[in-house]
Amino acid sequence: MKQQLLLLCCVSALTTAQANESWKVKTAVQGTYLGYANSQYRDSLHEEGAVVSADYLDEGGITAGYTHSELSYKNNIQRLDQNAYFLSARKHFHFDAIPGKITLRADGHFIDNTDPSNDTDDVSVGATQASFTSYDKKYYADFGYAYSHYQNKLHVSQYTPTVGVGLFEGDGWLQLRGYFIETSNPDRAQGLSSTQAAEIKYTHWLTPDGYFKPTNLQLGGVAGRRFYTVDMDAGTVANLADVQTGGVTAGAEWKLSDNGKLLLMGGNNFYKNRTAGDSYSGAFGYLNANFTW
Amino acid sequence: MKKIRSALLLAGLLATSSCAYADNEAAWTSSYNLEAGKKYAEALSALDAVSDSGTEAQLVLLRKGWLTYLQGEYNESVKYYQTALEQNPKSLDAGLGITLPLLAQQRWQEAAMYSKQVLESAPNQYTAYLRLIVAEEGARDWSAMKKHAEALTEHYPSDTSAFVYLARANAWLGDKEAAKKAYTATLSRLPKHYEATAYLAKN
Repeated sequence: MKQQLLLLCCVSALTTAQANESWKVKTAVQGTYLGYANSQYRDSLHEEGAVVSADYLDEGGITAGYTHSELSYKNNIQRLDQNAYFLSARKHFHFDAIPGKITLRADGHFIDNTDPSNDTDDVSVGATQASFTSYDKKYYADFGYAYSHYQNKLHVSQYTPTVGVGLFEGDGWLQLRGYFIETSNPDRAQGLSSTQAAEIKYTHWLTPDGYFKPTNLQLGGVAGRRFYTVDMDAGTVANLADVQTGGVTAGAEWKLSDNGKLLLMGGNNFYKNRTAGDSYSGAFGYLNANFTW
Repeated sequence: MKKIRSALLLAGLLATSSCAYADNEAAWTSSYNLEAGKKYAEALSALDAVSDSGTEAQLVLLRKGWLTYLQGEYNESVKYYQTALEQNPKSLDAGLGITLPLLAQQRWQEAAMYSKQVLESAPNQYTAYLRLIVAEEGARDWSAMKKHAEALTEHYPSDTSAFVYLARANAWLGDKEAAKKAYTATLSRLPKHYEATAYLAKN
């Protein structure tokens, strides 16, 4: 209830900000459907959510998000319903000695679900990130840290160093991110005290030509193992996922109007439940429609 | 005796004032000469001799803003121009000046905001339009860029830059025909313009 009130206040503040020209407000609705293949227990997961973010000139901004998820199981296991709340604030700094922009960011996640074991319920996550973007948009680097608190004696620390580089005279962007995740209690983390994974993302911008041609294409992949991942790009926490052992994604974004965009992504992720010996994959589709006011 | 004393006092005052004027003039001359020699830090230091609370306070601030901008001290430059604007909100010099360090730091929204403020006071002011368009290009706001580039071509129909920006905005918006038309207009104003020639050869 507290989280809902806090989120409502943020959305209200962001909507008010819209009235002021110094603020740029962006709203998005998004949905994901994930169908599991070859899993002994999992059937499907679908999520629906909305995100509102507001940026004040070039100074910084705030974002608030809400996602409702429903995870369906096989074998008559009761469905798990989840509400996740996300708040984020960022501040940009311009130092004359540095040829780029420094951004400091702080995120908070609050997750509430119907997990009868409480293992994934009442999760709270605090995450911070310091990033550098060069003025010529050719280089990017960030370092992120996330601390996740779970019930039943588990907390998770995640370190994410990231580098990004512009390619093809600004038409392409390549980003590499390492995930170094440490769990406080291996008994609560499928026997894992730590996991490491690497994530690669490539975005290529296309010259607009007609209504149906996308403005950009996206490709991504994950190698290694990651568990209880906090994704600071997506603003999500993988509290319901088993150990991810890999994945590929592809997507495209279209311009709907002067201020509206549509992002469509799909892919296949690979998971393993080490405790149950269940290895499976999850094919997903993701849709995001956003509008800048 | 009283008359002699008064005359001496007046002469003293005139001498002091003339001396201060000569000092100020020397400082300005030195600052401009040093800038011409690209010695921006020295040109800034030369202004130390000029009072920044006198009649030329505005000019001192504007000049400091400009010289710090030239040195790449963009945050300092923004501060000088902001102070100048606080002292004289009607100053178009300060409103335009502040856009320079902001554009250099790629603070597109703020640069656009100050450009719009200048345009409110001085509608159709060329430099303000141009800097607004540059900010919109940086922010990849192609629709706004097109709108303002179109306005610029209407108000300054002989200007090459206006047509180049209009062509770029149309190209980014996917309107090839409009982009070609604007690039063709560019070539009428500046034959052999590199960007226009290259685009028209490709499309």
